[in-house]
Amino acid sequence: MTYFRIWAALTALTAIEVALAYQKLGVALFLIVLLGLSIGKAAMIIAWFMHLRHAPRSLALALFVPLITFILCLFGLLPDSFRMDELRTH
Amino acid sequence: MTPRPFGIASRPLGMWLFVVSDALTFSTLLICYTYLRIGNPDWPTPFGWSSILQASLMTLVLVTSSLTMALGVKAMRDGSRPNAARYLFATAACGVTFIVLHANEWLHLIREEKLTISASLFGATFFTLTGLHMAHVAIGVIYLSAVALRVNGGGLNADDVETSGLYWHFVDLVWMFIFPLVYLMSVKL
Repeated sequence: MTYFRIWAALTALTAIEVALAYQKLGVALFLIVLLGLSIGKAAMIIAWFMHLRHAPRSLALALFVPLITFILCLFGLLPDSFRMDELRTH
Repeated sequence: MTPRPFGIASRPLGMWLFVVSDALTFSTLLICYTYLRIGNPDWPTPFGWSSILQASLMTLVLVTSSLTMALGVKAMRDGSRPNAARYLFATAACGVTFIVLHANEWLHLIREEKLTISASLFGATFFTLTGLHMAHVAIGVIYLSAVALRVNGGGLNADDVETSGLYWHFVDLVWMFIFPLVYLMSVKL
């Protein structure tokens, strides 16, 4: 059944995340990989468990276009955090 | 018949709107946390192997609870109330397990790592983020238990069960970001 496959995929992706945490990747690369995997897991939950893939497209557009726009605006601030240490006066 | 906005019943639509508004809160907190985490090279890394193992187990419990929730919604759509109630109770039980494991993790951090909400920036952000999520899980457990009891007693319909499912899956979805960004980004190597 599809639900069990989604459960297995979510569990497998979590195991990959945990394994990567011990690989000493750089902070920026690790963050990008983790965000990519987490967005993939979130998409699976929304599409299959929350049944958005069976809902009218107008619902998905009305809900997620504003939400994603908001999140992207917040992400616009994130590059500053990589140079925050340099900006300190110490 | 009254036309349905976006082609779905009003209760699931109301829950979708709540979920999106709550997602705004959690996204803001998570991005603020990530900003501070990256901007501070001396950010604490208190999560040893046992903490990561426990947090992974908590993740597995929540993912499993989403599976039982989805099966409960399907059972209700198929007209099997006893099965739907059983799956809903199983989901609530997973929620209780998650809370117990999380409380245990908090106690470990407070006792062994001397971490409190006022001890440091990490403590303040960690307990705010995970505390808000745990409050959502606790509310979800009460909500699902009430729905399961009503379903078992012959009340509510499939839309009501689906509405409670939307809330629960959202709680699981938020943890899919908290676990990697808070725990895995601060692993003690």
